[in-house]
Amino acid sequence: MILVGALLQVVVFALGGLLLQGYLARMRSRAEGRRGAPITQPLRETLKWWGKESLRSAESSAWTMVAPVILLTLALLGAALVPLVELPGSSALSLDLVGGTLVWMSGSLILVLLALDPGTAFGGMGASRAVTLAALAEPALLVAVVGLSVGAGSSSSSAILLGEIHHTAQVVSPAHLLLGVALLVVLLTETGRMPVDNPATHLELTMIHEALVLELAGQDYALVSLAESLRFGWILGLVATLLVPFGVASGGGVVALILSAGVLVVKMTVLATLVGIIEISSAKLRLFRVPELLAGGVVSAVLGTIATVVAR
Amino acid sequence: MILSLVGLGLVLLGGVLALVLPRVAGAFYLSVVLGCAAVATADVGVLVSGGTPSFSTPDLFLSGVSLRLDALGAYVQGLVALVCMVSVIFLAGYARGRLATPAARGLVALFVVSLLLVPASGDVVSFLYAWELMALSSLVLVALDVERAAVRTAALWYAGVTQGGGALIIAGLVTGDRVFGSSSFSHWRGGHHGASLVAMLLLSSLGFLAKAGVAPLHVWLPRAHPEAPAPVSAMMSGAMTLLGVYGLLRFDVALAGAVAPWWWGVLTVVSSLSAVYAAIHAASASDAKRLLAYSTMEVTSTASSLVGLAVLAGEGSASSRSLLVAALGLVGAHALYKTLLFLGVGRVERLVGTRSLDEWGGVLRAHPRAGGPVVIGALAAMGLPLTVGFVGEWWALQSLLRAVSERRWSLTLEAVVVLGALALSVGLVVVAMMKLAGIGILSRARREWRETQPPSGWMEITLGLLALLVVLAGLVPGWMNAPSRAACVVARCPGSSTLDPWSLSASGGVLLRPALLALGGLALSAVIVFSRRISHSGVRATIAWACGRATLSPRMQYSASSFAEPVERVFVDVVRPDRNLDALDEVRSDHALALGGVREHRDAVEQHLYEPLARGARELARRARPAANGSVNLYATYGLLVLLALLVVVGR
Repeated sequence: MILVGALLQVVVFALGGLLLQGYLARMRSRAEGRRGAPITQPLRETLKWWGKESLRSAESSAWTMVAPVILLTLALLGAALVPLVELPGSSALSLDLVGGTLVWMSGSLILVLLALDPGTAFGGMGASRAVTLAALAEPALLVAVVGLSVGAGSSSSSAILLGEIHHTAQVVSPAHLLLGVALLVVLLTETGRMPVDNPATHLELTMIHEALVLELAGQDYALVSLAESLRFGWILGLVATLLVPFGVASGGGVVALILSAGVLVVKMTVLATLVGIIEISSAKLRLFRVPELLAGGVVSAVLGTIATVVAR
Repeated sequence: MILSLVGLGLVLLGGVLALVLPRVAGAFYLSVVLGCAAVATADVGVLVSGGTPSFSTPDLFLSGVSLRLDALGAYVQGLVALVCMVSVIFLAGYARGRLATPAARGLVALFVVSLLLVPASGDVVSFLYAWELMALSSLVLVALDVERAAVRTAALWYAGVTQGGGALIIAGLVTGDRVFGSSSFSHWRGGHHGASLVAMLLLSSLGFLAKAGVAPLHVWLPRAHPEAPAPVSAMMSGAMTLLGVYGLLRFDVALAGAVAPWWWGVLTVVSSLSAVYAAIHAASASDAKRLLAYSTMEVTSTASSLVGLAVLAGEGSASSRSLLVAALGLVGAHALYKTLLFLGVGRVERLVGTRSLDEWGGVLRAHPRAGGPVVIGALAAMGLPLTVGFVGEWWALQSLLRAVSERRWSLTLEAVVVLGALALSVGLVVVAMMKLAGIGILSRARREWRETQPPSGWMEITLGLLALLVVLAGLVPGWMNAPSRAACVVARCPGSSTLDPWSLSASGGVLLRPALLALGGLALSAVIVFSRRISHSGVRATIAWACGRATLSPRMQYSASSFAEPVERVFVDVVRPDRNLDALDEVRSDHALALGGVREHRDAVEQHLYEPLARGARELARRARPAANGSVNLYATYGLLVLLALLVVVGR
């Protein structure tokens, strides 16, 4: 059952990540009065790239060869091992939340190194910006993760979720909300959404995330884009589940699992809608205003953690 | 103990052989490497069996030599022996010029012996002899290329801080001798109180923090590490700073943890700030070895903040012990990957011909056996899963989680501060390491290399083995049993639980086994690669697209300075870059100034704290000059006056 759960989870995150990106793009188009592409567009594009030849710079090193595979492997491992569809009976079968987060963060490091390898100006620019923002997002993320673990007294993800399910009061507490805000800030930063980065831009001077993947083509790009979608889906699913921990199957048959996966999809869609609303209603921040946003994230994570300890 | 003594003897013998048989360099290398291996084996024995072997000679000169190895000493000495062993093997291929002379080899042997003796010393006199020998021999090794001005400045700073710190430690340990009524460490037990113990705590901890490189006592580190030859930097960074943390644990935490809680609070906060400060500097440095020096400072500062927090958590509490384990594990992991990085960077420096990252690039493509290990070391320093760096970071986060969860307000607040600082400094170290690996090793070559040294097997073998070790220690986190035993010596816990050798966590968790995850990852990768094969999409090597213009020169890539520019801007008040303002010749006028590149990042502490002090001292010396006019009679009069003053003071 655990294996089925993990597999289901990977499918939910991969498809969810891809489709929700399309959903967000469509939401934005609608708000701008356009019809927009269907929400399956990112999925179709990824499939198209899978069938195309990979072009690699002749001056790149072995890293360009292995990095897309490493990136996708890490994304798959992370997506499968932090249980969000089915809670295993013993916490021994779940990856600990701290470990899962670090695995998730390391994906962006692999990508940044991949962008630097061919030695072009845009890759360097994107890498430099991405890694600066990642560095500043790290405190908010880690403090928030520890804050969430404090309630359960352990960083095992299933222990945290079970603790939240059993103490409903915790879920609606202000402390929880503060941690949620911190995680949301990290989510916006790390997945390159507005107001931090504009996913629709192709203007070199402002882009962060797009600049990282400029040199990729064909199958390499398909792997990287699938991995990025998985990471997007994972963080959406994780944040949504941590904030609203209900409707997660613990035991039960295939029906329960499918129901639980359906609930997860709903929660991810709601969170994505929130991200979309933020995206539509805000302008992109200047690069050097983003640290202020992240500092706000850190403050709210610290306050949330302290409040959690106080309330316990 | 016999094996340990044999090892120490072999290292000394190596030093003697270097001087006696200057033509047979191999004898020196073999003897020192075998000696280190013997010492490391003995340490493993002590850690596994749990005994505390000791050895002492009768009085030789004022006092005898007394050696004693408990789990803490064995853990630290084992790491030191490992670092020294690989550095000396690397030296066999690296040594050139003055470093290849018999005298330099003798000095290296002396340095290794002193490093190995410090954690094994059993009484005050042996410890202080070993400590001073370590300081002096490393000083001479740093100053080896004394003709270069940068080396002279570095050596002066190093001499100043290390001798000042040494004086504090001497004063501290002599005070300790009086507090505990014995010079033998086996009689030094906790439970004492009083003002002299506080004095010992303050004096010795300041000395040890200076050796570990915690701000504001760090100024020697970013100067001495870059200027020393690569193997010496590796030993200084991997082993010598580790001994600073060792001293802090052995003499201050274990013996004076219960007194002066305000001091431990200050130490914790200052160390946390120091870690962030170091990480900001590491992220903005463009000299590869300076970058590594600052990242060393970041790790030792983090470890010392964890140690401070462990004391605040109170002896015997669960979080205290796990914080100590984390601190020891962090410096242990650091010893491995930082040695790899210093040696690897030394190798690449010889290939490219400069330490400036702005001119590196393309190393992995041209020299995979030099560049690959550096990339692995950098990934470990970033704390990437499946490397040794991850193990240390994971333990640090887990122990902080425990400290936050303990319901004591002051502790929770301090733990959150440490956690935030740790996370921010880890993030910034990622920027630094990304710069080293991404700009320096990957990307395209930024200039014509002058290969100043033919490739040598010894260097590449060392780098390969170390890289393997960094990954293996990440896959089998069972080595954390060793710091766990060592922490028990400090925290005096009755029996230590044995951790599962494969698992990160003491509480089990099938998925917390890195080796298992690695296997799963390998299987997944194989599936991905296989499905690529059967899809027949093909791969073509072509010119880089670079947004439509493919004939860009490699000089147009992002350089190390431009890569760090965003971080520099965010932390502009800390970094304060000096910029070169060059007037362009063709447009020379009052207005036309071209903004040149960033020249150098001065250390703000050095600039604003130490330089005014140095200026003041110089001014004082200038004023005092007339009083020393060279007349012997005058000096004799001074002596007489001092004697009289002393008699008045003592006689009262």
